[in-house]
Amino acid sequence: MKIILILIGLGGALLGCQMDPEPYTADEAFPKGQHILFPPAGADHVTAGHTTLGDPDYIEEQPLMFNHAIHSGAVEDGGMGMECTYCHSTARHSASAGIPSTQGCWNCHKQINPALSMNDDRNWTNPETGEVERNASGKGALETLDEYCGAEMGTPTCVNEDPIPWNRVHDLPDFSHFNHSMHVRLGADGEPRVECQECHGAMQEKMVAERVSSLLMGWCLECHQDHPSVDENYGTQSELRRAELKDCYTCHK
Amino acid sequence: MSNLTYGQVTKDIIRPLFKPSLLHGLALVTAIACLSVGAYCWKLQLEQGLGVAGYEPPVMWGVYITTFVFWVGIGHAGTLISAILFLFRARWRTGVYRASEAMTIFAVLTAGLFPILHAGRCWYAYWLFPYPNQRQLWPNFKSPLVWDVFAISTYLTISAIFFYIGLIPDMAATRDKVKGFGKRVYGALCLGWRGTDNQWRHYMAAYGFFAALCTPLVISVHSVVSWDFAMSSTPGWHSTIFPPYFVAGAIFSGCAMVLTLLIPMRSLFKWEDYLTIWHFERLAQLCLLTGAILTYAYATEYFIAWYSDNPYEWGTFIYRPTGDYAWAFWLMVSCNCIFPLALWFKKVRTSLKWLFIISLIINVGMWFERFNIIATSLAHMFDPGAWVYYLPNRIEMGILVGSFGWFFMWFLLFVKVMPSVAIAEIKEGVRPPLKADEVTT
Amino acid sequence: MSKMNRRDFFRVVGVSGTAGLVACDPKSPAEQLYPYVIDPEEITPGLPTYYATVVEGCSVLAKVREGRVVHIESNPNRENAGVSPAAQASVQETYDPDRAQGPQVGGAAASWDEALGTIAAAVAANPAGTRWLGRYRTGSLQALISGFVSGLGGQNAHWEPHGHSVLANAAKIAWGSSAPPAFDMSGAEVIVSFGADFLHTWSDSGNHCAGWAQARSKDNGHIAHFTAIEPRVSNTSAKADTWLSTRPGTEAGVARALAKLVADEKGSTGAAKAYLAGVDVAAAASAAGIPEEKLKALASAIASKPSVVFPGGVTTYGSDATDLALAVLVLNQVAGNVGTSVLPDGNPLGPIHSYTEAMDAVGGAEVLFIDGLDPVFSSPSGAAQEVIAAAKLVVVFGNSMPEGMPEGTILLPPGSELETWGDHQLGHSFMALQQPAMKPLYNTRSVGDALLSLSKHSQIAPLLANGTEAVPTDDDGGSSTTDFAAADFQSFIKGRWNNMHVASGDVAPFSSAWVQALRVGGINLATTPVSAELKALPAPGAATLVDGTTLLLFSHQNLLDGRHANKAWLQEIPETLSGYTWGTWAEISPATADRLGVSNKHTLTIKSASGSIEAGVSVSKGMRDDAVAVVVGNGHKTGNRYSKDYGANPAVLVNGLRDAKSGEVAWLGTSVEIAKGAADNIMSKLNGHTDQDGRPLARASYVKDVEEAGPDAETGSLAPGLGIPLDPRIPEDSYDMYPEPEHPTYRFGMSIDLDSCTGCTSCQVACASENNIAIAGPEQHRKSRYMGWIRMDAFWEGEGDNPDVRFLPVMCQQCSHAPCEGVCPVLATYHNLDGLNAMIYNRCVGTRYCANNCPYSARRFNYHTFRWPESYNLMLNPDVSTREMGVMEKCTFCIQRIRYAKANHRANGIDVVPNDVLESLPACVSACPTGAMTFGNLKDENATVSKIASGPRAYQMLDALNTKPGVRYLTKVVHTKPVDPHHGGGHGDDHSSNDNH
Repeated sequence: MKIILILIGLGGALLGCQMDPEPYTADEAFPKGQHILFPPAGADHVTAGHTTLGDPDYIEEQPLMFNHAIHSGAVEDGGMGMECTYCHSTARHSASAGIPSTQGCWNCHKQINPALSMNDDRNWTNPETGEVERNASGKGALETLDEYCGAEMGTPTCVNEDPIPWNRVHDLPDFSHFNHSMHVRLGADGEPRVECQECHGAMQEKMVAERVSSLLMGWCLECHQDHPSVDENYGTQSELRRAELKDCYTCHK
Repeated sequence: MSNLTYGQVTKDIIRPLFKPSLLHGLALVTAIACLSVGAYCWKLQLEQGLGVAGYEPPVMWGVYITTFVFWVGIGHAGTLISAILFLFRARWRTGVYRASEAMTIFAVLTAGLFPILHAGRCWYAYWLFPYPNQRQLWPNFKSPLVWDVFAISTYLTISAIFFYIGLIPDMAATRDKVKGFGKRVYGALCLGWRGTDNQWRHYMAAYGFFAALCTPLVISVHSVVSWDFAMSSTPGWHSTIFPPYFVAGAIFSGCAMVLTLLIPMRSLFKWEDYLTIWHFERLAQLCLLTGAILTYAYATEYFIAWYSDNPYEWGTFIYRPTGDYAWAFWLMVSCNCIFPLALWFKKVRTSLKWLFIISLIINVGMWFERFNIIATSLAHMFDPGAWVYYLPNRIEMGILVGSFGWFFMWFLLFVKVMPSVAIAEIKEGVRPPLKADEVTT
Repeated sequence: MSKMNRRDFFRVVGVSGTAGLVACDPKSPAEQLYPYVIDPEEITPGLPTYYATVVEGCSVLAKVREGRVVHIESNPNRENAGVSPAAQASVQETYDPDRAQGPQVGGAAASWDEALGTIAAAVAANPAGTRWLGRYRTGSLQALISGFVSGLGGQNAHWEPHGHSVLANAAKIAWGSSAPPAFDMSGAEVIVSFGADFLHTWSDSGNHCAGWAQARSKDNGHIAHFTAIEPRVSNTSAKADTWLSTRPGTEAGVARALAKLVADEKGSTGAAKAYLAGVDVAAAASAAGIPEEKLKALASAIASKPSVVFPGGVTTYGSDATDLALAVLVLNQVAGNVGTSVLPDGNPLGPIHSYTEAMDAVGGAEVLFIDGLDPVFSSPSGAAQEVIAAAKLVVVFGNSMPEGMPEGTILLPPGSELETWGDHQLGHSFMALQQPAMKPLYNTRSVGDALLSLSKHSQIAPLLANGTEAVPTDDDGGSSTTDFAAADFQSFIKGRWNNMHVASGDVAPFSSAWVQALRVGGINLATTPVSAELKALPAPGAATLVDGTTLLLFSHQNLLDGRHANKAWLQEIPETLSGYTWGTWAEISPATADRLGVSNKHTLTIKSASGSIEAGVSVSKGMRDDAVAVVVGNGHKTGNRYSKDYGANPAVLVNGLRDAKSGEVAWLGTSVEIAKGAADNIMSKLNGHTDQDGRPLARASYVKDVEEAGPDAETGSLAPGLGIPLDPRIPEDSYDMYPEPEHPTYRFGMSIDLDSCTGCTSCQVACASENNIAIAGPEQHRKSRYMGWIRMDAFWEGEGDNPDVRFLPVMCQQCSHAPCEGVCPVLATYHNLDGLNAMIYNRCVGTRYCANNCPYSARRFNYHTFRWPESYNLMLNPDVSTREMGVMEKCTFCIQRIRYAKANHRANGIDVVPNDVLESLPACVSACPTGAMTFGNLKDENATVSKIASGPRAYQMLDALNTKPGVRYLTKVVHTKPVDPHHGGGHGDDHSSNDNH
């Protein structure tokens, strides 16, 4: 039942979202968008952009097969137990969690010789499938990193100008403004109010980013209504806080 | 009708179903042409946005809502005639009620298009219906527009059912006259009607029941529509007189539309025996009555606006007859209050030519009444800094034309496939066939 | 823009965030995330950074998101905050899609080396033939220009079409001063102006606005009285309490008469006495058509109270312009204003030349540099063209090619002020530092950098004597020098500042002073109090009076002399008085309109000896029957998409008339013939109807009542409205059908002082910039589809010499009982806990019922999916969704800022945002140059806004509807007793109802 209702909603949203990307010429002074009533056959309307909302387990082929498990996995599982915020460093104080710069990777990886680590298949094995993952051009993560960084092994700074074109997995519609810092900032107990895993799933056990939540409005609201951290941190004020959290302005501006 | 026989009646009334008529064909083609004009305009509007219409803020509602109210209004006369007059046993309804009821259905069908047409993002119009969704959002039950949704959809359903019930015996009669595939269709549609006493007994009960059910709708639906205006603070809208005033107006325009439809039908299908001057005179009298009520309502509006001593309200009411829209206002007054006075004369009431002309005038007048209420009030709201002068543009007019095309297409199709006069009820007024007759013939 | 993708851009919140509702574009593949290659310091994705800098002569903070300037804020470090519309619109200059992206030689793109090489060769051929024609420049750039040009033995001239040469010349004659005086009205009780549009386009309007607010505030002791003596009611004189309409050209006489009268009361000596000896007051008064006793009354007011008198402006500067300016200076002198409200040398603008001087200097140029001017466009009948054409090579510093430049002209784009270094002297007491807030988008170099690299060119370097200034050792190791050897303009500036620092005798290390200057936006200069003695004055020349219709010109409120014509916002926002956008209009009096049988629907043909134009009609009560006023600023024949082919250029009407003493163009004094034009007026007048029809929307209080009102005066007692329908016999609480909404923590509200509001449109530009408001364009405006969230009503309440124009900024009033909320079928708009009318765009279905039901007509509807030229997308605010077709929008009190402030304070454990933060939170409030607007939490009675909202002048617009708005207006203060709305309007019972909140 719920699925059907979601689909109805998405159907409407889709129809509303058929905007012509290039309706105007570059020298137009007052460009206007246009609706496509009869979309050309074969135009991909479903998987594109935020219209994939509502299908969990949504994975994007990534240009660099970064292995989350190896980095943030628990040490006993052969990971390095790194904090998420070590790389996604702005999550605590900004709306955007931030993707590490190529240099950010290189700071560590300039010491790691791909040739050596190539022999250790564990680095490229997807812990879930147990298969060795390579990107579209058949390269492993470190080789790809070397390409994008363009620096000689051991040299400190990257030289290549092109950033890594990651594919976005958690893509909210642009009219909802999510703020990481409000969620992961530390609560009264010194722990993050919301653990990264609550929304992003057990990234530390995965290889590539994968969406485990529907990211639909209802999903957000459920949390805003009865997430324990509200009581923990607002005590007597928690009722008021909950009411505030249900204000549409919380996300839509 | 005394010289009529049952067989003759059936034959006359379902004649149009068999005999193709050039005039009818032309009319149908014209209607479809108009419809396609409207469809094209709507396409442009969907692609480029409502901006293609002539809206001039703060006039946010224009021709579309005007036309919406117009068509809803048209609908009412049908229900009045078929349901209320049935309960009051007004015999003259017999000849006219089937056509006017059909008019109701198609008018409401047309009206229903406009709220969607005028919505900025009509592809989300379904949000107005209360249905459980993952967003945990509901419509705002305080909003008259939501009441509208309920009112209109209820009205459409109930009157459609009532209409269908009325058709059952006649479709049976048709079934007995047609051959081949048609027989099957009518057979299915008339739900195996055989006209036994038992069936008649249940039938009359059901018909009476639905007549009773429709009666309050005649009042309620247009009252709800009028609340779209009365419930808001806009000067010229914010008035308690609106519901009765709208209902009266609705019936006024509806009767006019019935005249507009029946007079040509009568001559086209040679139904002089069934649609007699007597019928038309009754309709004319109804117009006269409702027209008088309407005129009174206009006057009351002005009195209240003056008496309220509210400069904003009074400002609007002064603006209507004297401001930019004076032409529309006086057009409305002359069409709705002055010309119909001619109906006081029996000569006019009994002359089909004059009735037809006056009915057209009233239709125009009633459309402009709604235009006056909507455009003038919005163009001249509280803050003079925002005053504008709005005029509809080609797109809006195209869609208006389209709506007429849409309405007449359905109606013309209807008269071709269904008996447009209630056979069964006509027969009630015909002397039943007796053995004696068989002997003499 | 392809280059920019390669730049280290973080585009998550950047471009995609701003693509907004319209960007849910299914054809594009899944969005991409571009992290930095090397993350820069300072920039945190998702958080803004602010840089203190100066744009358009306004010290500001540039708000930067992910390396793009997205908004211009007022600089809190300056005592009079506020930002001019032009300064805010400089963002649009930066992202102008059509601006030159690199040097052009004869229209063809070229490299800097080629371009500079060509120039160097031409200069080397005849160095002494180098000429410079530019706008006023101060600080380092001025030093560099003078050094460069004089170094080559050439000449530089600095002229601006609506500039200050007349006043400068008068000040030179009167006091021998080197710069025009500054005017400070903050302490004045009597303000007089002879045509200077000092609140908007004339001189340092930012300071004047602040001064106006002080002069009109009760805390000042008295509320100043403003008399405008000019033939036309301008945006400034619309604020006047008295308008003495003079026959065009007679103002100088009136000024002298006034001076005479004042001198008679206060006595005068020396030069003044001699100058005023022969003045015949009665004759002057009758010539101007002003009753003599009014002059006498005004004179005694000037003599007895602290006062300030402003000279003329474009509208009143005729062939005796300098005499008018002189007379005004004398008047100030005899009134004893010099040194107090009139500060000689107070407004240093660098060298100033009149038109004639400039043209003489430029004549016979070998290489002509044109800096930031559109000389052919703005010179009378394009007279400058021949002079320019005579030059062998013309070099233009500008982001696009000006009008009428000869073949082979070289264009050197300096980029925008937001991308480059510079410093500017603002007034006599502040040196503002201009630092780049973002990387240059294109291959551009600032004028300074271009000159430096030119001076280093092998062919030029030998010709130039190196910089003469002594360079103290730079204590922070960086290289900085003031001679042409300077590595770039930045180090050139640094060198000069280093000198200034040393000269100031400050012992602190320069590096720290420099950093401090960068932080606060500049340094305060030591000011020496100036008092000036009058020198012997030349006898006044004769005024040129015109029989028939006189042509009056005035600078466009925002486009000024036309230099800002390409900034879409400034074109888009209706000019306050006329309500016109995207074009040129001519103001005529109602009588003239009747005579010609025209109305605002028609155009006017204006013909003079030298040319003719067509302009839309604007019938104005503030016009004389014997004159027609045409706005300058539009009518560009060349230029970019937002300036080209809008309106007409009235400069073609002006003949060779010059001011006798200064040689400046006499913009006044042209005789024209006017007739009904052939075409219809296609400009849309966006301020509807300019008469309130007795509706108390913009209310007024009588000055005496205001001055007498005690601190405990009842709320709204001086702002009577119509008592309807609040009948005193009915208990107040039973008016409401629905219960009072709950506001546990905040009830956000705003107060707007209609008296200090000058209708400058700053708030409107700020709003457009902050909230990604669509640029609808003229086509849409013709259907009144203006998308701005603040509408500026201008109502004419007065008659005759009391214009009493009331500017009324109307935005969403955030009602507690909002009519819009109840009628929305899908709850896209609702009342939230902070007392705001939330408007959720993505829930909106577009029934537009809310807008119909909004008594303030404050809602805007997206009739189309409005988009922006590609490069404008970089200007959009990532925190605000853009809106697609069919969606309603309106003022949200800048909800994104409110939530940002809340989040920040929550993160620091503060649950309620303190008032001082809220006070100027919304974009409009922080941009307001007069501080007329205040924002805050009405729940907290200590909040400034609550205090203001409980004053006797406070009222709520349309309070009689009991919508309980969150916006409180303060009445305009008038010096003529206003008509009481109950009797004036003739409606309603006599009791006001401001106390419902």
